[in-house]
Amino acid sequence: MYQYDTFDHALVRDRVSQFRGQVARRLAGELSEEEFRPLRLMNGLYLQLHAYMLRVAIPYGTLSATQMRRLAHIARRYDRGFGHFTTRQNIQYNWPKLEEVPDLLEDLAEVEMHAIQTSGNCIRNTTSDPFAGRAADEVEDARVWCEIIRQWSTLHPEFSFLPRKFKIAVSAAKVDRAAIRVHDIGLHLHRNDAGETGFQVMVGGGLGRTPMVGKTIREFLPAEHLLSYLEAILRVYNQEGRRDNKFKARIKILVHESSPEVIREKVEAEWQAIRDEAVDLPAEEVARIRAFFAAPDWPARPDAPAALAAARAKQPAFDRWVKANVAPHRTPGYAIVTVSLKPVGGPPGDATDAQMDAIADLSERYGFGEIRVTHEQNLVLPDVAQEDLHALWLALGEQGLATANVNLVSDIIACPGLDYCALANARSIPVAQDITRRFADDDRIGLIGELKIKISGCINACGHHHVGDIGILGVEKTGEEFYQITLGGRPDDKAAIGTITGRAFAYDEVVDAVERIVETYMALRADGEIFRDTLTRLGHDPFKEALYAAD
Amino acid sequence: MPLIKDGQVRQDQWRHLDDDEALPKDADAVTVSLARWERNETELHDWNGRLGLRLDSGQLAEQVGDTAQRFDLIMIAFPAFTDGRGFSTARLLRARYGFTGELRATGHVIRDQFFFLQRVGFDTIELADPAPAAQWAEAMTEVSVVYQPSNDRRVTIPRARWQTPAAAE
Amino acid sequence: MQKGAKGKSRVLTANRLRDGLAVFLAAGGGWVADIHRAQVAIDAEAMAALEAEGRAAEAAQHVVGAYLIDVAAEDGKIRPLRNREQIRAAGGPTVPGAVADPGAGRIRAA
Repeated sequence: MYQYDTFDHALVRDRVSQFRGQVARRLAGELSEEEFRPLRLMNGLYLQLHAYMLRVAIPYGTLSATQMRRLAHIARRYDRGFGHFTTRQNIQYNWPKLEEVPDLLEDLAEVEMHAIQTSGNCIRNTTSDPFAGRAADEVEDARVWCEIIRQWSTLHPEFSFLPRKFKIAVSAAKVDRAAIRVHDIGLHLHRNDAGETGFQVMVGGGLGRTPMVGKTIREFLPAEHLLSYLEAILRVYNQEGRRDNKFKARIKILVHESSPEVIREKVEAEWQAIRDEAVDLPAEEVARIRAFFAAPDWPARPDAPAALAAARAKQPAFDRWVKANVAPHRTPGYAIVTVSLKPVGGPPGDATDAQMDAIADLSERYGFGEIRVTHEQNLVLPDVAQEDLHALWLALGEQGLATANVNLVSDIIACPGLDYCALANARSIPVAQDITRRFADDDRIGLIGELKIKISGCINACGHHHVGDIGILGVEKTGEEFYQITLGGRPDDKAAIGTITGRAFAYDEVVDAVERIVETYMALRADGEIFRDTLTRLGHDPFKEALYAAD
Repeated sequence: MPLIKDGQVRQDQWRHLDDDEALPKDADAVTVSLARWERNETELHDWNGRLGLRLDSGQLAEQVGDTAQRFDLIMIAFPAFTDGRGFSTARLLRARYGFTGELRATGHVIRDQFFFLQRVGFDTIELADPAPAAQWAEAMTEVSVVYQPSNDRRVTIPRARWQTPAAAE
Repeated sequence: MQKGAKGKSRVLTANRLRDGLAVFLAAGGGWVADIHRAQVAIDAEAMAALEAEGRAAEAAQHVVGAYLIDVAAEDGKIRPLRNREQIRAAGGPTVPGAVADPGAGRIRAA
């Protein structure tokens, strides 16, 4: 993975020292809260319901064992012993003290981490495929370009005061594991017919109040022009994005109101004017960055070892875990393991400091000291020898990290909701916990198969409910918590926004409602179908009937 | 209004004319709004003194175009410091439309934007309260390295890495 | 003048600047985490006075974002009317923070 040089270190250290000065000025009253707020947001520090919240960047969801240990230390030293992994591959701490945040950031800077631009109206963390560099279906490691974007977008003098936040995602694989079509800019790295590597460029995707799937404005952009093209898009957005209404300020509104063709023309015109200027990187710099993502030297390990099959046959629990949590690796003898942070009854995506330390150790013992964060709030150990899967499973079990539910009904994505977030209208974590308790049986969830439930506590949709098979949106009605259900959302190459089923459900009705949906699917599905297939085949009516028949 | 230029507080030498105000006989440096300039008055074209242009935040560089070169001063307004359009306007007036005169930021900008303002090409900042002027020097050096090119002369990190191989270690 | 102050009881809440914790303006002055110690205002004048104290505390860099919330106050107990404010007054999430700490959560009163 990428390693900082003296320049990268200098920037992050300067930024910490700059923020330290800003905090001091704020505490001394030289900066008002109104002036300080955008500055602290640009360093990822929110003021939430109970306390401040700090969002630490995990660039394109990749971190080293050393960095994970430091995140554990942060949780212990500055917080209440845990962190929350987010739907943008970052981590959030819920209890930092403003006066301690500069020290916290300094501790992060020592291990090449920061909280720069994880909030505010600027370019945020560029996210990517958690299997990048390890999956067989990719063209090249998408993270090379994510790192290139990260550097270009950091403290960009022209684009730090945009109309609104700006999110970019990159995928280089056949299967989109980065939800690129619901980002402000989605980039799909692929090869054209001439064998050249370049990007399909989509703009104007996004969730929130007005969810939209991104529109392709360029089918193929040669990879070496990426930064100049991004600069063109950002310049059009910075100049023309709406600033009159916070809820209409994202680029998706600009694309929708102008039309994708008009935006394409403007971007292309701007790009033609700047494409030969200095912003694109020299080839040697791209090569230098690419070298950090070179594949590790995987020692030869047996593929499909007999011991693995024997262990699976002997222990059904282990077999279930392999089925759900283990994905094929591009190298024979290896596997990609997703570590579920969704135990029954647990808050989705949370990990204690002890668990973070354990994962760091396991990434070194069973891998090359690298860990990934998924946008579905799980972690990944990307280089586990198949021979080691059983030992890893046992070790994870000791830490409460062996839940065999990845992509299954209890692998729920949920925002922090009203338990933590000042923007929320309803709680999401207890709903998730209740659903996992209802679907606690391992055999049952295995039978149900792949089914993504995503829960948001408000219309900002940080839980990505719009793109869940079952989406749940918390709302406040007459002072009580209610939950709207949507069906049919997808974040991948066939990205779709879910549609509402009907009236919202009260807090004590919603888990029953979800179970009715699942039971309806189980009763009606054809051989080999997963939930999404049955829904597509039959439409929403049977599910609506099941939900509202008693009304 | 006092100005900051290169970290020093200076007095404004320009007269800023309303749209209906006649050209003064006793001044040699006046600014007009873009709306007035676009009215194409003969008196403005015949004016021998220094001429400046005032843009509000929604008046983009392309609207001025190469005409920018006609002016000695262009003022770009920031109605709120969160309105970042002026950064693009400045960037383009210099880099695309050949403006070499003074670029001045007016309205609401905060000290923590000084570095960005300078990078995209602003020379002066008009401030209601001159106190932040003392912080200019500090603001210019707070962040010692930059990743992306802009209108300033700073060598970007990607370029610096390859100028001297040893520098990247 | 406070809008709709008639018949309402209100307390003033904010977040402490230094550590961000939710606090309430106490009877007798000072800011406390325990809502039961908050100063209750029952008429427009008292509410305006609370808000003035809030502004002063903001200006003194002690708190940020002071605002009034509706409460029910009886038997020495103060209970916010709004769900959101109840959660906030409880001082933490209604659920445990993480898997390894199942006993530490506060259960929201029905």
